[in-house]
Amino acid sequence: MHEFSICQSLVDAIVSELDRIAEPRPFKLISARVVVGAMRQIAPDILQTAYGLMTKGTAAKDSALEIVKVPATGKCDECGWNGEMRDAFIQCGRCGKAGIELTGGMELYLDNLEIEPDGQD
Amino acid sequence: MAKIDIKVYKDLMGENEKWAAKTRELLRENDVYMLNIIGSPGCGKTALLENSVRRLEGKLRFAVLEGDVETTRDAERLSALDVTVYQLISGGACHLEAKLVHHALRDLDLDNLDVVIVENVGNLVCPAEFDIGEHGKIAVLSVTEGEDKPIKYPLLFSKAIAVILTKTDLLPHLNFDIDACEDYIRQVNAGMPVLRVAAVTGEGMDRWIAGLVERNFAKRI
Repeated sequence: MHEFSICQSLVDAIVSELDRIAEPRPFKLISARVVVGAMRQIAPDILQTAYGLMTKGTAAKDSALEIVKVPATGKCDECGWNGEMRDAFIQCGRCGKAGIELTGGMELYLDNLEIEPDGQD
Repeated sequence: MAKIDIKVYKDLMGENEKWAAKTRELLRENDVYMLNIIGSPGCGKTALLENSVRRLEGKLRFAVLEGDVETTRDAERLSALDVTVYQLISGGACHLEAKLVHHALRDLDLDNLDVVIVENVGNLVCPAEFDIGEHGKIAVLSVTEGEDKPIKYPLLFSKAIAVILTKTDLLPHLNFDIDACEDYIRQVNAGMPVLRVAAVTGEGMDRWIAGLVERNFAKRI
């Protein structure tokens, strides 16, 4: 259930980004995209529920949350392999060496916001 | 009207990371070693600490920060012994965050401490995600759990600096294959030090205590 505390950081980040927008005004937030690495133990459904609840009454209300998962990748210092890892095993995809260096999969960031002008003009 | 894309690229762990960095600074200034103990409810974290308190008397000055969702029961267990204990109540949250830990540390007499042990909320998932500024995470797994937990919860078992397998005195009564468990651990982290401990009988405690004193768990004794 740490999705709620992560969502709080997400909503704070979105609101502070929206505050900085000078043009166009007024505007409406259509969607926010968050990138989550495969090694992060984040349940997308819970994050979506949290997002719906926690954006209420903020500048991000009624916006969609797009969750983009990126794979866990690794680099093997034994055989030089570089690539995407299967399952939970942090293993080389070629020689099978265990516990290789993670090069991706721990991402957790607000990637972009999509807004549109709101109002008559 | 045209939609407008705004690139943000903002790390969502930034706020937590800020507090964790402050904690690292505070620990460095005071030369205090801090460990973050993570394991399921009932895996024996508090029993391990109870036994440690007795063994560390006169060797090391240490304090415990007890994280729990509710109640001060664990803190009461430990404060019956001779050690400074603060209770951190997460208030429903499944993990401790850096800010809460930092404030608790500020209240400790760090000048007169060598080690701070944070006993995180009992949970193998969420606490692994949150850096609290510690020198290392210690994963605790009891032999009454499944031996494949390390590959089910790979984040914790890959990030930890050591794994403690507790309650090993119960092994004769269980089907737990401890060597298979160590293999699973090494599948997620090839070089992981694994300590086998029975806090009740004291078996294996020496290596854990030596690790605390030397700030290094890789050495076999």
